[in-house]
Amino acid sequence: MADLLDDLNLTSEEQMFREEVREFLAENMTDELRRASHFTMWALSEFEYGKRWQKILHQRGWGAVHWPKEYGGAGWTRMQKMIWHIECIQAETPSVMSMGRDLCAPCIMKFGTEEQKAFFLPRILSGEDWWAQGFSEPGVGSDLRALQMRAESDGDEFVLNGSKIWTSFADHANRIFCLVRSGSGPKKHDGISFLLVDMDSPGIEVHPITTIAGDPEFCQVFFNDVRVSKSRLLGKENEGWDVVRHLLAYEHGGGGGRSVSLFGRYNWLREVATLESDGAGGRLIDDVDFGRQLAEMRIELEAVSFASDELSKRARAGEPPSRVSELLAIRSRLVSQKMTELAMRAVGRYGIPLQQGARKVIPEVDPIGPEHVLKPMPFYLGQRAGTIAGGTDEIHHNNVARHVLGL
Amino acid sequence: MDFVLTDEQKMFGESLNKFFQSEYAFADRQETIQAGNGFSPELWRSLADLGVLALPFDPAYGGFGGTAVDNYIAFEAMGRALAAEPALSTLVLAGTLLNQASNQAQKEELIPAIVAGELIVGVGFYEPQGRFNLNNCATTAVKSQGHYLISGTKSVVYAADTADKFVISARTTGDPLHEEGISLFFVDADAYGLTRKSYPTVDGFMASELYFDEVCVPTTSLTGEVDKGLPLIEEAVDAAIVASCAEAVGNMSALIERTLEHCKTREAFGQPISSFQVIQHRLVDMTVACEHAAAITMRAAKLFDSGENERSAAAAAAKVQVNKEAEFVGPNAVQLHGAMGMTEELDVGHYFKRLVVLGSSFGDTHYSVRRYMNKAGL
Repeated sequence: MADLLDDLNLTSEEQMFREEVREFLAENMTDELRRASHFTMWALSEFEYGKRWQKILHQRGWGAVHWPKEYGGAGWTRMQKMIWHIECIQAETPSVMSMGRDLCAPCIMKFGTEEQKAFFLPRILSGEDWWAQGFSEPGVGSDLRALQMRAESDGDEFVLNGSKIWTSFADHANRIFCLVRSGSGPKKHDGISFLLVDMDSPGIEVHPITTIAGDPEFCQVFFNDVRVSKSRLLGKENEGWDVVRHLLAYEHGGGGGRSVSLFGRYNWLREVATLESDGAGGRLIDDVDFGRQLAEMRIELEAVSFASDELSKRARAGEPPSRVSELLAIRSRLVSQKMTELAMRAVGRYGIPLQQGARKVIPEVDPIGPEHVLKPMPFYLGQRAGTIAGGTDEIHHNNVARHVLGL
Repeated sequence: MDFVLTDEQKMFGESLNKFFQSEYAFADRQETIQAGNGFSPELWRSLADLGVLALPFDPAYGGFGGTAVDNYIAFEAMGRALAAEPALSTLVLAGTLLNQASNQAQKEELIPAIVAGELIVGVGFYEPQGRFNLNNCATTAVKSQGHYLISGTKSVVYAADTADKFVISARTTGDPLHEEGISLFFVDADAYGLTRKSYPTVDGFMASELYFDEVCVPTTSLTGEVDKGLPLIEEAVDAAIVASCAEAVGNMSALIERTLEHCKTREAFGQPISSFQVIQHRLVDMTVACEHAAAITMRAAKLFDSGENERSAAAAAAKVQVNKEAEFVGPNAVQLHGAMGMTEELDVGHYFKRLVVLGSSFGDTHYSVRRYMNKAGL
């Protein structure tokens, strides 16, 4: 397997840091946490285990490694963060519900009042607060500026009416950051405000949405005359779009380690094919046709991986982020979906039983067929969102046409 | 596409489509599935009244003597409606065996009961270690004093939880991979030593693992000649391939209809997304795919009564092509519906899942390409 980190000529301090990280992960990653990560069908692992992991990270002082040190961040260099990120992928750490830590917190740091910073940031770090992201709305889709949810000003409060959809794990959240329409102006994004809302406010209702993979990862959140104090505005009234811009830079950032997770997925696919029979007494992995498909997959992966690694190295050398990354993401999303399809086909008829209970971290029932058949089908179904969430594939094509090809 | 069909066949198709449209709403389907029975007894009775359950059987036993083309029509309609009923196993798999292999006593006992909607038959040809290989049969049937003792496992048997009877393959002679030496048996669902482990499936059906532990059946439960079961199984599976490909065509037509409607009404950036050329072309390609899936399947239906090899080659070809077309149409229907397409709420995801499951039923693309090469002599 390609090892990006070995490629990067780490200094001896960086090597030592890497050892420290590995030791920490080896000591703290349990089978349950690994299982929670393994059975993550879309973006987030079973909530309880993400929560448990966040607690472990916090105890070590690594609860929010990207934050500045003054707020409790690790104070690491860019390279250290990259090492951390890659080692975490390799150790299969659970995907924590991170909208508070990774999206809301950076905005609070930049736009928040001193009170807001002092109140919210420590709670995010410790895992006391869990934030949902209230951006998308029914019928609105990829164009955020078309949002409809109203916030009427009433003295020193706002009154909220409307609904937010695709809010991951809102049923586990105690707070939600929302984009609301509080005014209007010549531009579509004028009059949008960014609000920090408590989930236990009267008038909020949460309806979980089950995905085709069978997991209740998303919710729709309804707001019916919900009153929020104006002290919960982040940034200025009607100027929430500035906050959004800052946030989106974080949401679409990252990218380093993409090839590591793709290779991780490839290795899993190989393992499935190793455990699967070819129907004639042999192993599927030894089947000539399947082997050929696997090899072609591997070649696609090498292209994706090399391209993405070159880009992260250039970024590391201080080059500004490139629009080409969006172009590369079009392909890497596709390759990543293709691998789930191949794995799903690899398990053949044993992809057919619905096995939600058997793939829980604490299984509720025995699996039908061998253990390795549990993941491929729901993973294939869940990962269809890869070309929808965060802007559809079609939108990304438009962007590349405009910004890369100049059309 | 309009195929060359008799007036009778056209009317049959139209009346079925009308029936499902008025009597089988998506919400009813989901309710039936939630109830966990695996099928809807009311709908099954209606299918009996409509004559669907009589379709493939010999008129001498109350059937209509329908052809593979008639099956195509019925299953396309069921696919369009996303009917989660045990039709494929009872009518097509078991039906073919009853027609081709069973003796008069078995026919008299079973066909009228099926036609009346009183008998559901589960079919166990596949085993955990066998993937799609029909001759990978490790289940054994050992003859002893006027009985057979059956032991082994059958995997992912649809409708097994509600079935009154099973027909299964078991080895009477030879090694587990031999083509010779496989025989077919009817087994009562409540036979001593037979246990079922039932579960819901991804596409909204119920299926089971069947465990046979020295299940004792009389020699009269043998159907077809002893040791000569494989060609019969292949014929039954070919019939199921044609019917299930027709069902997939129905699934795809329904998906395209819904996606078209969605794209015309869903707005982005101030206009319906159907006004974007990339969406228009995608919808055209989906339609092209569906038409060719229909064509290759109807071809297999019309070639069904040709020689064995020609029949199997045509069925394998349909399987390969329909899988390919479905892999384009299904994911794109979800994609164009956006996040809503990813939810259990909308029927789109359920059609998609049925297509995905059909792609791993009766052979995946891989297996079917090889089967095609073998049967077509390539």
